[in-house]
Amino acid sequence: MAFEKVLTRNVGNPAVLSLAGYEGVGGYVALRKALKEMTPLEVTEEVKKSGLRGRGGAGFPTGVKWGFVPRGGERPVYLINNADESEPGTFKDRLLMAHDPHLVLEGTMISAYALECHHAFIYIRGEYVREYEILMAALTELRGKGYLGRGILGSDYDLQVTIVRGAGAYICGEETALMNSLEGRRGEPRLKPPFPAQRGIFGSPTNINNTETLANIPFIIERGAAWFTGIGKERNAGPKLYCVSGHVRNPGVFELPMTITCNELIQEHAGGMLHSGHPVKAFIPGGSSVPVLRADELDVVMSYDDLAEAGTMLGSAGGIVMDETTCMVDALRNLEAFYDHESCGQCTPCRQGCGWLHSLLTRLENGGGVEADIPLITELADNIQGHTICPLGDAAAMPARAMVAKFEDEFRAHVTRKGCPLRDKVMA
Amino acid sequence: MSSDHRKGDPCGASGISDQALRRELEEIVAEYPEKRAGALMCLHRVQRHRGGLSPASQVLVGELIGISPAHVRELVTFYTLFLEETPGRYHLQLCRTLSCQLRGAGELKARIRQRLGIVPGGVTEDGLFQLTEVECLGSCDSAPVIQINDDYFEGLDGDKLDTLLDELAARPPVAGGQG
Amino acid sequence: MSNATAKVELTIDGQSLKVDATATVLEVALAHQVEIPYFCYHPYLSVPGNCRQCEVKVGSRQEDGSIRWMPKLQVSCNMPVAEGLVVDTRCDEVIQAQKNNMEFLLINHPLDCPICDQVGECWLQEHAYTAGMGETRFREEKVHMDKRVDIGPHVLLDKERCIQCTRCIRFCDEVTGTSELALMARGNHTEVDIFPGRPLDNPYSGNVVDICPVGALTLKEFRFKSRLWFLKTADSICPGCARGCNIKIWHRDHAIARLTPRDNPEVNKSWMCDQGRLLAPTLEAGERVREPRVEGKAVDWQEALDEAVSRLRRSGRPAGVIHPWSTLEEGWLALKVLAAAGEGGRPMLMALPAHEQGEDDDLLLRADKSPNRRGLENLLTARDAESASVADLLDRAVAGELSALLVVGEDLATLVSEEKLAAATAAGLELIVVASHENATTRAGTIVLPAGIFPEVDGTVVNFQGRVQVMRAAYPPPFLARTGAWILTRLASRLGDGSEDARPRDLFDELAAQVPAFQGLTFARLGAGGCVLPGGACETPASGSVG
Repeated sequence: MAFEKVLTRNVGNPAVLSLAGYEGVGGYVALRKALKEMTPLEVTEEVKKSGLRGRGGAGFPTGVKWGFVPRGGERPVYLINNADESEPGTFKDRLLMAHDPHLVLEGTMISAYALECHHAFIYIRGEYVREYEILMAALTELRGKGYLGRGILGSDYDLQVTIVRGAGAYICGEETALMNSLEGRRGEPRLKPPFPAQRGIFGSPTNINNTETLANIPFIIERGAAWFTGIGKERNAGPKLYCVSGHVRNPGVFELPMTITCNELIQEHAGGMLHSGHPVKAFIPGGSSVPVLRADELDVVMSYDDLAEAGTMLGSAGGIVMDETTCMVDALRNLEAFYDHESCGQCTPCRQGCGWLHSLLTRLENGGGVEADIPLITELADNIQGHTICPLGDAAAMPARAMVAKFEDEFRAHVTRKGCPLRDKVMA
Repeated sequence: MSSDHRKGDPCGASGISDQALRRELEEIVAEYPEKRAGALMCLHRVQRHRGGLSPASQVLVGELIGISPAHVRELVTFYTLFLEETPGRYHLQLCRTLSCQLRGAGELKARIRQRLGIVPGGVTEDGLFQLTEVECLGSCDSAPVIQINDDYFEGLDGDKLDTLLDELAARPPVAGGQG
Repeated sequence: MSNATAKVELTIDGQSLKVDATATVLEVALAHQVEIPYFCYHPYLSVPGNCRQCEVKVGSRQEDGSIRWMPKLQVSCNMPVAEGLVVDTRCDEVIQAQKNNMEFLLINHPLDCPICDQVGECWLQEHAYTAGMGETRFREEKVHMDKRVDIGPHVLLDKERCIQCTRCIRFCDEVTGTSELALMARGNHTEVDIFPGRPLDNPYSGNVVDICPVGALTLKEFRFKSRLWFLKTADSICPGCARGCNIKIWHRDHAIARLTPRDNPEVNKSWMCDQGRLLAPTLEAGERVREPRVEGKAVDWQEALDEAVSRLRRSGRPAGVIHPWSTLEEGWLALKVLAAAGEGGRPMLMALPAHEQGEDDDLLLRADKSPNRRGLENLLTARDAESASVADLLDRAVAGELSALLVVGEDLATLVSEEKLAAATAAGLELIVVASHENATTRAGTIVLPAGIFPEVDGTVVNFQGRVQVMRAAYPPPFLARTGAWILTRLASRLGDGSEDARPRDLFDELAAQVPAFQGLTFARLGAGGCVLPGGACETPASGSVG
């Protein structure tokens, strides 16, 4: 069965950077259809029927999430396109923004219409300067040609879109931290309740979706929910962008149905291992926050549900491949350094726990480990996870627990040999 | 610290007057339902013009969006892209996270140290290069990556880095881009 | 659900409670003596839920009677109550979570408790005692930060001791609106700080020290002054302005060590201004009147009181001046003395001087710097006293119409010129002066009776809202001085009105029975939070103090 790439169909076609070029390949047809032929509720229903699940990490059904947003209340509704892509191993939204900015905008606009929102925001990570410029150029062209503002495309629907740049904070990918950031505050996640659908930005009902999620919307509207559910498998429908990096020959973003296995992704799409003599040792399937898989666990299908069943997560589909030369203690040290650096510092377990894990692992990797360190890593992970305001704590804990569970001998070897048994090999 | 050598740089002082800058910021702020929401975009703009976010700049932004200087400073110190001091002309932001580490970020760091004599946090004596280790830049498929000012330099190795540094060092300090 | 009067029924540790539907689990627990540890929560500030110490196990009762527990523990400070909610604060899972969280809080906390001012009121120490691990598993280098940061005229910051609860920041954002403090950097390098050159210098800055649960913020004026367990306390009222903030006097060796606010939701919540907090040096400055004097000669109390009575009586119609710092009881007694000493038939002549005004703000500070003007005015009105200014009284003396003046607490020279005072005494005016400190009036006084001053005074005062509140003495007046009430009771008794043994509470009950504005009140009803005039609506605050 042939799989048609849609999300990445315009990648490498610079013509679509302009409005005319994008419309030349069928762009804004879905927006016109939504505005002229569908009510906001019908758009929402269609998205619900498609079963589209969030592509940012949590995998929550998008249409259901839209359903939480109260309509017709006194306060305006806001939509945020979360383009704060920062999960290590993830670079798919950047590809969309760089190569198909109008797709990103069209998805945002249709979704805003569905939510009866008149001011949408795109929050793009600060480091993506060129992508911001590309997106901004596309937005400016839309504004100039009456696609935004009052009564867009001849309808009576008004919409304003603002692009906001982040400024270097992974935590702002978390939706309530992003909201604080967008309001001009530190990117500290908010306590729930209240939930964003009740009180998000500016005290108003707010819906927030990942960039890839919203890029699916034009296709669902144009082709219908049935087309979408026909791709992949039940509850895991539609095209998916997979990122592969690390020790592979052909790293990149691959648009595939959620029926692909880890092995197929690595071997067939990402060109196999970088060095033929060094087979895969471990694979992180969904970005740095999800539990690692061993080489013998890679026949699992990369869908939300199959990966969950395998004890890990699809997450942001940021696949990181590590070959046999990789020290798992050092890999985990690297990741915990990341969470230590990115913890907002607001709540106790994450602020203190991430730093502790980072220091401990650095000491272990450098030969200063003791026997008690190994169970302590897991205990610290347990003491962080589930006790924090936001999922960053969980994100720091999950890889730690999985690494120790799956590579315990290697962790112990660092203690008994007073250092890294692989370091010499890596340096060579 | 003196920043004379950075005059006219894309990352340095643009020479814009306070008044003109204020007008630009007011325009930014006007796009948001609440003034404070313009904070990050204003700080980005000021940093582009002024190179770094001096105490005076932070006070200016605070006045404009109606928050105290302390609440501006907490943003400047929270978000890593905001710098209180003007960085070197070429700000080498070397990704150190896993995918880049797996593909040789450590080698690049060693090479920079060897070539430029700086470690993360350091600036070369001529103020030309500053090195910062940063977290995942979202370019893992082209690891290892260095972001230099606004641009990504991808798929680097020691030799490519050498060539790149030579090229940057030879470039005259002209406003408008170095990508 | 948003109906404020709606009630829900929930169970906490097996105890079934019907509570306000808008409450949180922590609020309910605190109100019902269920102990849940916390650091960041404060009843008068927003809820950040950042310390994570107050996690509890939460579930809901199902129709079949079983309980469906939530998969994760929840912070009780942000957990809304709900019908059928079941809360467990004591199960092993909760106790273990408290221990784990304490371990995280302590790993980077310095071990300088022996020299920390917070000892004795440190929440970290307290919770470590109940939920500490007893041994450390932390083998890493602690994060080091600045330990002596001068952030304002009164407050010093130790960044290492800080647990980032943000109470101080929220106070400056939400209560004073001055926003001098913020969180800088992030992760385990997060620190509270000011903007350079913009110190924490608002009129309420000392409150951040009170609400800091650890020793991170200390008051410069109290640092290293005393260990808390050497201090005695008295619950009293700040005399600094007409607000009458409820305070606690911490004292040792008959001197104030510090003043801290006491919670009264109707008056000052749990705040006080820096002026009041730092009142002690002003009170303690100057020379105290050490013993009773008659015409410059030291005498014993017996003689001084007898002499005072004879001069007052001899004058025919003595007048009075009363400082608005005086208590209701002192005012009541002063009026009794004037009435008993006068020949009758003519109203009492009494001055209640106006003093220099400050400015009202929208938080606590009142322009009127006297704690009991409203109360004394009520008394004067009730006794039909003829009011006069001090200048007016002195003019009458010069004109030969007034020969004796009872001065309670005032230094007349702060109200009129010393020349004017001298002219009046030269014309024969005899001053019977009840005073704590030596001043121009005591020097001009015919009879000087050494009196106590806050915090040596027991009595009641009425704030600008009309709330009657109880001022309690921390320690007795020094040397031979006695409280104003003690002195005036004896004068009144000698003049034939009342017993020498009347205590301030008896005097309050007496005046309340006779002054319409106080009708229905008794001293016993005033309680910890005071009562509002007229009618005496008494609210009893939840507790004496809020951390």
